[in-house]
Amino acid sequence: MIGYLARRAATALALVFLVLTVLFFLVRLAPGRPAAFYDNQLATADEQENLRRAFGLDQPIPIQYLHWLESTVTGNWGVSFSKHRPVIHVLAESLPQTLLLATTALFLQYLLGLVLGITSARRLGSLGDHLIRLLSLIVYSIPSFWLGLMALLLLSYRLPFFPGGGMNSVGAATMSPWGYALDLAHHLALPAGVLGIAAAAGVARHVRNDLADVLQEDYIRTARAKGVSEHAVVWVHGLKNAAASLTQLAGLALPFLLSGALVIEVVFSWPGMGRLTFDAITARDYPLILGATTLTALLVVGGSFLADVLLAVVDPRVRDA
Amino acid sequence: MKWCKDRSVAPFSTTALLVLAALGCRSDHPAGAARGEGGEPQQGGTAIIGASIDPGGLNPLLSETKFAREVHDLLFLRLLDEQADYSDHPPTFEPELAESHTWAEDGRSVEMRLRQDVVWSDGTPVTAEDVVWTHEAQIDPDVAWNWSQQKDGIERIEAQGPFTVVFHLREPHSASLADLNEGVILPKHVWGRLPFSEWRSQGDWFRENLVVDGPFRVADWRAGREIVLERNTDYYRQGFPRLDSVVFRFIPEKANQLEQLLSAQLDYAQSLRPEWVDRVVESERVRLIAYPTRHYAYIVWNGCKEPFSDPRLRRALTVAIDRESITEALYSDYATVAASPILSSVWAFNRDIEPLPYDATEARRILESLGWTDSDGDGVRDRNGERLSFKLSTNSDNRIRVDAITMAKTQLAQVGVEAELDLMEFGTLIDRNNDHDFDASLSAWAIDTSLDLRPIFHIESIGNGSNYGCYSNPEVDDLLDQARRARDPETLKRLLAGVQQRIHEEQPYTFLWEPMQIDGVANRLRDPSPNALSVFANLEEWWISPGSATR
Repeated sequence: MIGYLARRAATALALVFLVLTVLFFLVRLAPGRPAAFYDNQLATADEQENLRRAFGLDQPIPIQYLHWLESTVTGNWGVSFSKHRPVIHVLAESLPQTLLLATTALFLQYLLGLVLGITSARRLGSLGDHLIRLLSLIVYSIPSFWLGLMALLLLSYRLPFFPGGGMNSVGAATMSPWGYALDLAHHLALPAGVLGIAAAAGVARHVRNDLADVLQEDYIRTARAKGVSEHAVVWVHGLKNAAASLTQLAGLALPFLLSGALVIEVVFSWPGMGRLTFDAITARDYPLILGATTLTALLVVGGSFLADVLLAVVDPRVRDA
Repeated sequence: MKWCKDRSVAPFSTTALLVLAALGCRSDHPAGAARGEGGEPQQGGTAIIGASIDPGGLNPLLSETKFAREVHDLLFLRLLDEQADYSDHPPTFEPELAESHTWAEDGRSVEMRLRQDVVWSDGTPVTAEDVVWTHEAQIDPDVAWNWSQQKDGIERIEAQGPFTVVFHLREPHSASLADLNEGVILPKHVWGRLPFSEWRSQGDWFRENLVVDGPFRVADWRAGREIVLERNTDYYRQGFPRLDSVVFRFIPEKANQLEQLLSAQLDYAQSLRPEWVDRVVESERVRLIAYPTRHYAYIVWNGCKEPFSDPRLRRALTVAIDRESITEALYSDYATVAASPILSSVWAFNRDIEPLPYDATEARRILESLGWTDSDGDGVRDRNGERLSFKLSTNSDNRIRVDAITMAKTQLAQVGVEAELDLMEFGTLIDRNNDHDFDASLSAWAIDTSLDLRPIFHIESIGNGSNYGCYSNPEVDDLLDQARRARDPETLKRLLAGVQQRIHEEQPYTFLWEPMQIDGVANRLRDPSPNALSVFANLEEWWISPGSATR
């Protein structure tokens, strides 16, 4: 088990390093420069040189790479060009918001996905099964930004049930902790709901198919023949055996949620990593782009690693391999 | 001199509209006219304003965006307050931190007398030392201020006593006052404690050590969410600002800003699209404000290479594009067709110049006379085996520009010219323009009132500047050099009229449109008077109608 985990951890770290190295050169060699987006476009050669020097862009790219690597491993992940602050501080402000959005969405995704998937699998071929499959296919096919816009239009602008964006109301700083939490939940409901529902469609289809396969197995038939209740068949025997693939799916859910959050955060003005990354790319804030990507890569690879660990726990065949 | 490249011009109007709008911001739509104005100004209340991005930082010398500059102008004072009254004469300057300014007879120095009742928010008086030190910061290479070129004309600054500063100029010119007034004055006694070399990595330090002398101070700032400004009780203008606080909420999507304005979640939304005007006008709770911007859009022809180096060909291409119908289709009444690199709402605009009329017949005649004929009958003209076919570039994230070049492509095809659309990301577009690596490119400039056209049309700006199309005319270079040295407005106007005339004849640019900015304002918010220089030009005078609230 330990050997297996050590192998997986080493692979994960090597993968992160490889991804970030490739990304560094991609970002630095892409057209555009930070000053192209500044208010003053006609900066003189001297002004541009001062700026390049201040940003460290006057160094050869391999040297810049080494500096960046050093600051990433040992220090503050560089200084953001647009925020004039250590990247790690900027990320520390945004990450909790994205994690809040992503974990709430993940919870909704699995809750909804499991309920719908199980309902569908238990009544294969029924009207309900067809309906769930059709609906989940439709939702799965809709781009999340469109779903987000429609939710905003209907549930915030036409029917004033939810705020149109942001994370808190004006004056939230003066609210009581309970009032603040409620206000936050009110603002979180739409973005997390959209992100969760969009992802739940995939889970529902996966659970349905896996569970349908498992429920055809001989040992399930045996369990039923022995008089085990249908409830126990599905929840204890069926789902337990479908858990392996669901665990793998959970590992892959993080990249899906984080990439989905990028779009959803812009649509709902949610102040998380997605919006930060989007703005950083627009402004060619290289240290911030790389910092945000490093963090995302760590989260995704970490999530995948965690899924492997869980898989090893739930599936003895894996840990004994 | 301030020139900006605009990437999202929300451009717009008729000449009459521009003139009226220049006189004071107004609602141009009949249903939106002045609704909600009037009444006795009230103290108190909070205005909620939509903004697309976070200002990024609180040190004005490190800021890069227009919005950041506007926020900093609410926190810190300038020496003088430049007015947007430039339709008939150069802009005037009202006293701000400096209560008076006096030019020496030879025009080589100007003495500024500072108000003695202005204090930083920690109670320390604002003095001449702050002004001198701010200049040192502005020109320091480690600070790398994006506008330091404005200060090139200043030889030295000396403090004569605590409240008098004298600026000695190297070579005075008509825009000297605007140049030396560029940038807000900063607190030496606090910010002077941090070495310039550490400024660009210590954004948090400026936030923690913030003292201000402007109408507002920062009450709260949640990165990416909102910045809350509250009334600076130490502000020298008694009774201002009228509002208790202003909340800028960061909402990246413009459409969301509109919807939040209409659903009473915002009081002010900037840069609305022309197609949204009807929704604003139909609303009972909001009104429209439209006013001139500093922008004009253009197609630059790459004269660095054939065949665009020929002014006759450029003229043919200009008259082949129906700029009026394109502008009308994209902006309705909220833009005019541009004719010159100087906006038609600016005093130095050469009023003898009219946009070249759309004339496909004339375009065909010129092309024929230059030897461009469709010899192989494929619908595209050719000459000596070379087809008259080129790439027409713009940035793909700007729908208006993409629509414009799509229409231009169709119109050019009607005279036998093939334009292939070349859409790219904004940064790539700017890089290619700078590298002269394009055929024709649609972009926009935002200009200020000092009217220095050298960075765009002077021969010296081909390799080191923004003369993207390698435009070169010795007569224009000479006029531009003289214009930069001109001391009186009449001379400057005469010289710039000559420049505009030559450019009109040679069409290095096909000038497209001059847009207006359209903002939506909740009726409860009174007296906003944005102008081309700043949306928040008079924010300290805004007030809230009592008994009304946002959702």
